[in-house]
Order: sequence, then C-alpha cells, then structure tokens
Amino acid sequence: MRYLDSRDDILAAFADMRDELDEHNDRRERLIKASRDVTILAKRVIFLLHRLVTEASRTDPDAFSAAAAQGCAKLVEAQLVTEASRTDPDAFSAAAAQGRAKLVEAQSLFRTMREDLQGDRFWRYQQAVSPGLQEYIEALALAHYFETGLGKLIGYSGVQESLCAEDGEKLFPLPMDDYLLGVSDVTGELMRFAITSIGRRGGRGTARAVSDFVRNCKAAYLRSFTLANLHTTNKTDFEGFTPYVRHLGKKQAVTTQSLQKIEDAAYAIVVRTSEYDLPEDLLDDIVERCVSDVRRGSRRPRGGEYDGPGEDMSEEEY
Amino acid sequence: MEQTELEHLNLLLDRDIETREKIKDSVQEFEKKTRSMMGVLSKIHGTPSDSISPLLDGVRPMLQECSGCIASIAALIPENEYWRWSFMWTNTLRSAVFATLLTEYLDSGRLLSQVGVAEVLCVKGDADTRMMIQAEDYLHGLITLVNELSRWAVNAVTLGDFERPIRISIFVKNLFAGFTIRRLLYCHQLCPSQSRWAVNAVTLGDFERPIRISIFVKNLFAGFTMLNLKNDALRRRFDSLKYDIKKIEEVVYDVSLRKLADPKEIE
Repeated sequence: MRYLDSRDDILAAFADMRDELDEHNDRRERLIKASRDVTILAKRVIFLLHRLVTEASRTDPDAFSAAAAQGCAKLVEAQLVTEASRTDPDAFSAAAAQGRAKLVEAQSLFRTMREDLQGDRFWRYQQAVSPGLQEYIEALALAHYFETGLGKLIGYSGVQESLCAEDGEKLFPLPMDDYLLGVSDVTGELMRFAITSIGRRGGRGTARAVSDFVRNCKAAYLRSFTLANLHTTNKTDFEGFTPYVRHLGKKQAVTTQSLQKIEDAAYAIVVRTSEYDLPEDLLDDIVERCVSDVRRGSRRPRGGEYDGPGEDMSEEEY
Repeated sequence: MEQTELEHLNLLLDRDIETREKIKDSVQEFEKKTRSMMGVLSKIHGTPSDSISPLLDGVRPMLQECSGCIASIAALIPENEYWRWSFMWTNTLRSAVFATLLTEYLDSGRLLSQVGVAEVLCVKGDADTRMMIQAEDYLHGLITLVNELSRWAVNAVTLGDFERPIRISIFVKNLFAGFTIRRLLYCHQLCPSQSRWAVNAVTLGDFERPIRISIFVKNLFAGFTMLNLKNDALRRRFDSLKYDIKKIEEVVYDVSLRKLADPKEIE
C-alpha cells in the first residue's frame, strides 16, 4: 500500500510497525542477556585459570619449611624437591584443559544465539553481543596461552574456529574490533599472573616469559597498525589506528602499563638477587618460606589481585 | 602471533578501511544533496499557496538525485553488513524520508506509507539492494514532518492578511502554555463528531490549512500511541509531538474563533 489515506490505514500501518519494533527490542534484550551470561562464564574461567596455574606452581609449604629447617645437609634434597615441583608445562596445560572445558559452555551459549544473529542481524545486534564476545575471547586467549606452554597468542582464525556450529558453519563473522579488544585484555590478566607468580617457585622465569610475550603482543599490534595504515604513514604507534577501532587506544595504554609493571617487578628482583650470591633454587626456597611465614603471621600480604610490583617480593625481610 | 595470521588480520583491516572510506564519500554526497533539498523545502514557510507547486517541481529532481545516492551507497555495502555501516547514513536517510513525506503531502495532501517512501527513494529492501528503510527511519521522518507542519500551520496563517494580530496571538498563546488548547483537545476526544473534521480540497495558504493539518496530525498521533516505545531517541522525539499538536490546535482555535475559517463549513 503506497498511501495511508484514512485513520484506519494509519492505525493498521502503526500496528505493523509496533510488531516490528517489539520483535527488534525483544531480540536485542535476549541477546544482551545471553551476552551477559557469556561474560559471567568467561570471568569465571579466567579466575579458574588463575587459581589453577597458581596452585600448579606452588609446593607444599610445610614440607618445604621442614626440609629447610634441617639445614644445609638437606639442601640438596630440597633442591630435588624444588626441581620436581617446578612449574611444569603439563600443569599449565592441565589447567588450560579445565578452562577449555568450561569455555565449551560459553560456546554453546553462542550457539543458542545463532538464530538471532543470522544473516544481516549479526551487525544489527553486534553491540549487544560485543561485551560477552570480548570477555570470551579474553578467556580463550588466556587458556590458549597456558595450553601452548606460555607461548602463543590465539589467532583471529583460532577464535573464529571456536565459534562454529556443530556443522562447522560460522555462527557469525568475528568482528576484527572485538578480536583486537579481547586479546588486548589478556595482557592485563597476564600481568596479574606474572606478579602473583613472581614470589613463587620458578616465578621469576615465568615473569620474564610473560613480559617477553606481552612485549611481543604490543610489537605485533604496532606492526599491524603500521601496515594497515600505509596511507597514514609516519605513525609508528597505534595512535593512527585508534579512530578505526574504538577503545583500542585505551586498551593499548593499559597494555603498556601492565608491561611496565611486570618489567619493574623483574628489575627489582634482579637488583635484589644480586645482593645474595645464591643459586636460583635456594633463593626460591628463601622467598617461599618467607611468604608462608607472612601468611601464617598477622602481617598478611594484601589479598586478591596485585596491582603493583613488589607486593610479593619478600626478600626485604632478610 | 604467527606471521600469516598477522597478514590475514591486516588484510581484513585494509578491506574494512577501504569499505569505510568509499561509503564515507558516497554518504557525503548524499548529505550534500539532502541538505540542499531541505533548504528548498524550508521555503514553504514563506511561499504563498499558489507558488508551492512550482517549488515542488524543483524538489522532485533533487529527490531523484538522492535516490541515486542511496543506490550508490547500497552498492558498496558488503553482504549482510547493512547494520555495520548504517550509522553513517541513518540521519541523512531520515531527512530524506522526511523530505519525501513532506513533498508528497504538499503535493497531494496524502501520507505515504513506509513502502511508498521506499518506492520514491528506490529502496526495495530486498537482499539484492542491501538497503532498507526501517520502521524507525520512517517514524523519525514522520515526527520531523509533524514538527514542520506545526510551523507551517502558523506560517500559513501569517501569509494571509491577518499577519500581525495572529502572530501576537500565537505568541501569547504559547506563553500561556495551551491551557485552553488542552481543554479543546479533551473536547475533541469527548465529542468525536466535532473532532472529526473532514478533509476538503483546499488551496494552500489560507485559513483552512491548519484545520486539515490538525486532522492529519491527530491521526498520526493516534498511530504513535500504539507503539511500545523504549526510552530512546524515538521516544523523546515522540514526546515532542504533543507540543506540535498543541501549537496547531492553537492556530485552529485562533482562526475559528475569529471566523477566519470555519471547521464546520470545511466538514
């Protein structure tokens, strides 16, 4: 009908539009809810991963202090214990496997959204889905990092592959923005991981590995920004790209900050270590005993996540 | 990150940027055309009724150019990505919808449907054209139309002989925030026979115009009340409708009070 000439015509047309708008709003609400569920799930996975890898790199404090108390004669033995309990890649991949298993739940949530995201709908509701999607990517990337033995950043295609239906079809096209923003967040989690593990057995090596990785991530971004912005050359940093991916500039600043925290912590460790002419493992023992003393005593180190360097560096006690 | 992975990312980024730049150029063109069309249409407020028709003859080719712009944007949208880029032209498209509605209203006094607007702007809404006029775009266009008509109701009277007194009267009425008009509105609701002023073939620019507009707008308002609106831009703009209606009612009140036009006679 080309014209709406009578009051009835108008009312009928508005009734149609009401149905259309209602359908749109309902779908949007549904997706926002589902996206929130994914966010919750992904956050839990991230905490689970943190918990598991921290446990994996911890020795039994009682056994250790008993061994240490018996003095130098037992030191060799203690070192053997240390050797055995040193954070091993297997522990990480076991943790990652558990995280993965949980992430499957998130994937099935995405599958339930498939219908509402078909065809051109995906881009219509992309903003509703985006927060959950980014959190999911973050958790996935963290799991992937542990899975590959503190080695690799999950690729764009890796994430896309995880978002497929049983028949192998893409659930929806993964937006570049969400991928970049999601993996940017991982660096923050890695900073937490590095700082918490720094006081633990073998943690200093871990911190160094993490800081190298985060630095490489940043470098990779920089490279991709410069490549993508050939027509806006002379921009060696991501600033030139910021107008194209919203919020990325902010995330990059956070990444830089995280990197600096890890670097500062690593620096402090090296400086302090130089004061003691001790082998790495022995140092580990001393640090660990101190940490467990502090834990038992009244002066507990601040709980939760560490946001600065040095919180867990208990060499100062000596 | 693997090297190939990085290259893949860069490829995607490049493609997105290219699409964006291309669409931006077309949208700018579309904006320019729409803006000049709006400029011409705003002249209705100062155009005597017998000169409206030539004015519309000037607008029609501009509408055609706009639909050409829309088609060129549509050709640039990658499959299934209408919503990814639509924010770039939504406002302009809504202006074009408004212009289409106003032109048709000035021409024939009729209201184009959503489908009718899409036909004029050559938007078929099927998967091939990758372009569509959504209910929301249409509704925004309608509200702009009402905003404009309420102004026009005032200006139509102004263009008659009773310029100054009526302007002052409207000014005063505006100040007094339409207490009378409210009552009039309720009156109409209570007495449907009175409020159902029929439409007559009336030349533009005289005192009967406001009455026609009033009927038209009230029917629209009835339609809008059927929607379940969220607290968004559409809702806020919908809230502005009642002021337009009030203003139009004021004009109607003014002209009928002074027997410059008689609603009953038009009926």
